[in-house]
Amino acid sequence: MSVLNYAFRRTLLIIPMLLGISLISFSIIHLAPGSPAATLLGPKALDPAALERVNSNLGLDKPIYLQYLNWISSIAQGDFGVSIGIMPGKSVADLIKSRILPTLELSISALLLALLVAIPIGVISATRQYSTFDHLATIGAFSGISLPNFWLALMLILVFSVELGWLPSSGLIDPRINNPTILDYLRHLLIPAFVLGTASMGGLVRFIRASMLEVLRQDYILTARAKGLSERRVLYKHALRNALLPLVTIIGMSIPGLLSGAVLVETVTGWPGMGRLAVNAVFARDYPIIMALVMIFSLLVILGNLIADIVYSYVDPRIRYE
Amino acid sequence: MVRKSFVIFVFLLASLTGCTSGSNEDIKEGKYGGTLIWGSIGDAKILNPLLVSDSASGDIVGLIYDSLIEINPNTLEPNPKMAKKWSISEDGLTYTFYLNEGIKFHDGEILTSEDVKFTFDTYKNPNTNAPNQADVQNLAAVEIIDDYTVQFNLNKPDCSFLLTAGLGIIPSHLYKDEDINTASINLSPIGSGPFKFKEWFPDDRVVVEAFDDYYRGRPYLDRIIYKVVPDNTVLTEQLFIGEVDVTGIEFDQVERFKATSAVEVYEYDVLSYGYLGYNLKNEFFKELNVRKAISHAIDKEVIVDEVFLGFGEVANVPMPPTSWAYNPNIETPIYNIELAKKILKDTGFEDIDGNGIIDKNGKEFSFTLMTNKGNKQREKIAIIIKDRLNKIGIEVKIQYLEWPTFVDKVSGKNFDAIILGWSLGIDPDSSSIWHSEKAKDFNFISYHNPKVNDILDKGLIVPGCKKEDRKKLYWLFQEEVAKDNPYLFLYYSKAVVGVNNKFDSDTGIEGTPIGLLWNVDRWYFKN
Repeated sequence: MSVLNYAFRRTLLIIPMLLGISLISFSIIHLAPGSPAATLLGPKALDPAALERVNSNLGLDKPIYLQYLNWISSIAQGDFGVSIGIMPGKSVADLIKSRILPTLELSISALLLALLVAIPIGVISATRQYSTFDHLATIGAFSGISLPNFWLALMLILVFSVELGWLPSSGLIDPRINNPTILDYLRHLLIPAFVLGTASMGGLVRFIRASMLEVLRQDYILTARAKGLSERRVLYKHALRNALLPLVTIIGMSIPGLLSGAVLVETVTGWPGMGRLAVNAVFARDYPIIMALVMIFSLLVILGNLIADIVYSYVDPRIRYE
Repeated sequence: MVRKSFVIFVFLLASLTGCTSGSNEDIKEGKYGGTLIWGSIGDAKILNPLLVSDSASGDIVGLIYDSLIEINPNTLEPNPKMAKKWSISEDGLTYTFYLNEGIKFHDGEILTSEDVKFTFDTYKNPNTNAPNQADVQNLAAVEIIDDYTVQFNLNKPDCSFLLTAGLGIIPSHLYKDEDINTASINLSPIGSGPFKFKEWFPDDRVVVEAFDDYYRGRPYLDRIIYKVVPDNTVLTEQLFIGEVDVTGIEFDQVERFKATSAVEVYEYDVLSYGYLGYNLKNEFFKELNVRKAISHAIDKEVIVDEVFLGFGEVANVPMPPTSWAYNPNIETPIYNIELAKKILKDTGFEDIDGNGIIDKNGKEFSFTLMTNKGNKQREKIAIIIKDRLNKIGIEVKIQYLEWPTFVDKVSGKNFDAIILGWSLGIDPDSSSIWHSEKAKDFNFISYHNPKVNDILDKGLIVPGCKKEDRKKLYWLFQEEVAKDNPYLFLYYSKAVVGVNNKFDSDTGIEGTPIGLLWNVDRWYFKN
């Protein structure tokens, strides 16, 4: 059976999978105690009559299977509906769209930063195993992994914004600036991207170091050295390329994560990203937003896996799909 | 702060001696221009005066929408605003408002009686998700007399009704064909207030700009940016370094801000109180003696000092001291653990099995104390209460619940005891909390005292709504409730807000029970 055929079958399977996911998550979300009316009414929600009135206005008093059918039929027409909790009446699609750019901006720059720092450090650590540099890199990597994100962000804000006044302390852009330049945006991006970057940096350093060590033990490295190639050429031409191959998988797997945002860093640095949207929606029981996000991320994960599986069949000839 | 409170005192004196129109005040002339950045932890939800329930939305709606009356911040009496005057019929059933002519909405349309009628009709409609719909429960109909005269007819007299006219008036020409709950104008509002809506970037900022045709004169400031800074520590620092101009200050940061000259600190009392509420259907709490014993076991002073760092007062009645109806004669129950233990013992509670928890009829006195998650002060109070009640042999399990879950439990009367607070309106009527027959919307503790019902009913139908007569009734109401101990009243807390020193106002910047930014349209940049 050809890869094309396999891909087609897998794509068809996506539909029942999404249906199953939607059914399960819809039920769980609606079974959770509380309703969006509690958010809409604030303190006045403690009045049972008001709660009932607003629930009925929102159609939440209808049987759950009817609510599900309503929801699925509008989704089928590509309509995610409107928010009913955090910004009542606002189109869910618009709300999500407005978060995509800031979220990608932050997560991609954090990933790039992490790679730029982690690759050289990981490689040097491996080639000079047990050297002082390696030990320092290991300590650094574990510090990076263990430092709580929100704490690091707060400390950076206190030092660079409050004490030194070099960087702005929150937001996408200073609302006082009338015609912001690229530089203004970059200044706002620096702290959140750095914090988010350090979180994955430590893990990446360890990963690249291990992968590189593995490769350096291979016979073909020995062959390359025996041929009399310079150490430089051995390391960067033969070893590094092979060591970085598994990294492609890791980056691929992190793609859904790039879009889902990072709620703690977003909160401390006031970044209007997807993470805050999702968490606020959950706290407000904003069912349409929660469901839309669940469906989008499920689709991304499913597609990501599918693409990875297909790519594998090209990369690794031992894998055959039947 | 001594200086600040002195200023307030002088204002009070001026109004007491009947000095009207501020003729002997030097009216300062402000400078036009500039942007004020107002920092907030939470984003707004909906910018429609009928639908707001959170403070962020309320703050912004207050800039964009105007109402028939406004509250005098010092006397808390209604003053004319969009209505130049009003009259109330002898029987208290008809309220007639006379509108100022030529008031414009931000889109240029003239505001007339029709908008007023539309606003109140929509407010009363059960299909509207209005949190405060109970305010208009006695309103029968709104009648248009002419373009600028509008009449409200009530089912029965209601002394609290006049303050309902503080509701922002929405434009009927834009709303009439829309679903009020989901209309797009709720997110890009058009009102008749001093500032007009410019843009809303969710979770980042809401921007409003000066409305040139504001009928009371254009505000001095060009722009107000309501900036969302979701982390409290960062928000505080932003006030410190001037990235935001106005925001609330946590009590433990007040000293630091007082020490800087860049930020002016305003402390003021607000119309609210905090309490420990008992479910009176609970087998333990239905006994008055149990509630009395608890009132002797908890030292409220410690709560005010430790949790509020002294920015507050001990509460004893369901009425804040800032209200004109506050009864100051009710004393705090003495803090005395031995007395509390004795009362419980006399009521039949004893630790029979010697495990440190008292029991009665073979049942241990143990209960769950709930409060809403995220309110740090209430979480701390819960710990103090747990500790104090352990000392008299009562076991307390604490539960912090996020708001929708908390609402589910409390409105379903599915709780033992809760810690919560009430923010009150300016009118002292609190039937919705304490009445057991009629407006019992928030009586989730199942309080029932026919005498209180009677007083609350009378308080709303006092002939001519005379303040002195109403005050007597509300004093009596507070005495009755204090006797019953249905809540353990805990505290009145203060609000503390910092304002960057570069601002001034021609009517003075002043923290009042209606907030600090009530006159922000008269704020300007110094020099």
